[in-house]
Amino acid sequence: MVARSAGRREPAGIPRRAASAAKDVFTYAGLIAACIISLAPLVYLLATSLTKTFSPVADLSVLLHPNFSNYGEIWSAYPFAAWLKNSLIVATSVTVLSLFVDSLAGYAFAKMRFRGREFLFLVLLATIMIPVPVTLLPTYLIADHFGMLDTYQALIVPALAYPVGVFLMRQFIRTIPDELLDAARVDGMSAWGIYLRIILPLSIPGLAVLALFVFLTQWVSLLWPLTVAISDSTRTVQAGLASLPGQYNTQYGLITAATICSVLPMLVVFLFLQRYLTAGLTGGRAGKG
Amino acid sequence: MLSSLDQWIGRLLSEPRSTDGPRGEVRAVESLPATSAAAWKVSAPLGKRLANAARPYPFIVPKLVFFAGFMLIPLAWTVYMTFQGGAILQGTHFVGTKNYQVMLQDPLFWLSLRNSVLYAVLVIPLAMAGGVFLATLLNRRIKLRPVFLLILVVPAVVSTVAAAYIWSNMLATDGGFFNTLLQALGRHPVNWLGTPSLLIPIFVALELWRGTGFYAMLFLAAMHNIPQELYDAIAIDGAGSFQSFRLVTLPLMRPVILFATVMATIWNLQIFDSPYVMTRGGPGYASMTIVMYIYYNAFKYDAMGLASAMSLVLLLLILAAAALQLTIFKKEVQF
Repeated sequence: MVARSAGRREPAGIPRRAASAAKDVFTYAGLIAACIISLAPLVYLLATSLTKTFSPVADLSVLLHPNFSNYGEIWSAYPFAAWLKNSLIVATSVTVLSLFVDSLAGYAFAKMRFRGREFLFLVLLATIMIPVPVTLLPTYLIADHFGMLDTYQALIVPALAYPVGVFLMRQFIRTIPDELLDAARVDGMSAWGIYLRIILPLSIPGLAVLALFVFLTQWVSLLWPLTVAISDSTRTVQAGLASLPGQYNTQYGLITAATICSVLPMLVVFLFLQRYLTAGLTGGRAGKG
Repeated sequence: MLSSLDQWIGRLLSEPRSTDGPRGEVRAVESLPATSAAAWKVSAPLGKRLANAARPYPFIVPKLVFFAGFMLIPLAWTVYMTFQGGAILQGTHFVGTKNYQVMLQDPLFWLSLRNSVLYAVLVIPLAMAGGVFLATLLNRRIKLRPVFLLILVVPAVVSTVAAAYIWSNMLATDGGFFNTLLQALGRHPVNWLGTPSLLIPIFVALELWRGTGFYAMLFLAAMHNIPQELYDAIAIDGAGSFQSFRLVTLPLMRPVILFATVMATIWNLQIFDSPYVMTRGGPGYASMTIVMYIYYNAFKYDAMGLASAMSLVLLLLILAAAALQLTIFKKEVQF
């Protein structure tokens, strides 16, 4: 991808070169400014979390003599460990189950022919437009009916209805050559064998993108956990943080430390799966950049 | 001849090949005369034919069960509930269109709808333009591209709840970042979160900080897929970089920009997290959004029918916005 702009270069006179240098300055200046805007709130957050104070700080010198006591106190000040555990259990469960259910359906939609396939797929796809509040109340009543309120199941199961994963997996599995599946079939492999031994291994980049997407969506989700996770035994990090009553909002050091701890797991997952994301977005051509 | 027929039957007995080509094209069957295909159909045992037809279903049924249980049934239920009055515990009864009438006369409904729409109308064009701009910069021949990209995308993994706390901090009246800055410049401090007219712009700024880098990453990926030959060709015709951006980059990125715009519309019209954390809809009801008002009606005011009616309005709004965006983008393609 570096070759792209190199190919556009042409023998140019001095004015051209000067113009190009000016453009470079503009490019770097723009990117650096954007990066500062991107990072400044996070640095500010970090600085506040390292201060033992009840007011926010604008003084970055605290980074030189940090006070980590907030990071020790959040575990006793809030049920933070429980929230973190709940978030991890819910996000991981939804991710694993979605990968399974969506890759199964994606395989069927991509590589099998059956009556009503196009129609069914269109219905699935159209429901991407349905906003969460539309299904919120009935889903709550269904969860209540089955005694699932304030359980992990209530947080996990409804998330499996979301259609985006099927769409993503179908797009990805379509790029697997039919010849490969035919050859496996001639060798007597069953549809399940093909799914396990051909579709899944070849879909790993697609599965990684889906995993990142589902985990992130679950980790940051607020409205549904706020509705069904009533006690701290199921409350997720986001719901927990968002429910803190106003009195905590002035304990800036504590709350910023908690905020950072809520972001870190996501950051780790993102850094871990990031290279797949770039590959997935560029249509499977991995390894660049 | 016989062996090829054998192979063909073997292929038909396993599941049919997918038709990736134009719809309705049946590649496997077309390769043999129609008569033999018909003959096979008649001679194949019924049990085998049924097993063959059932094969896709184990693969789609798990998804369809969840989809029906937690998407289709709730959707239908919500439509039904818009005509119901009463509270969850006391039981409900048919009230006709009363919920819709109450909704239309509720000033808070209109205020919260206005807030959500205003927010989306501000955020979406700015985020798209910002994303395209940053992607253009990143797509130039620069050093450290992965580092720049990573830094720009990091805010996207910060949850809106966390972002709301970060921004609440920076906007704090006493000693917050922005007021410290203002005072250093000799200005009076501002009560940011207490000033109704500033709230929507604050939520917009928060979301731009969080989301623009993500869109830049999406658009950059699309830019990489534009063939270099197109740029070479237009450069020979004497086009400058702005011209090639307008005539090559933008038109070829239209599908991905359309996709991002539609998705951003769906997400942003559902704004809830940032006002919930930062203001709880206040001061007064100044920063109430439609999703927050639906949430309050459903779970705090015990007005299920009203909440359901409002959620349908939100759905219609999203559908209308998506249809509008599709029409506009289609029109612009044919200049």
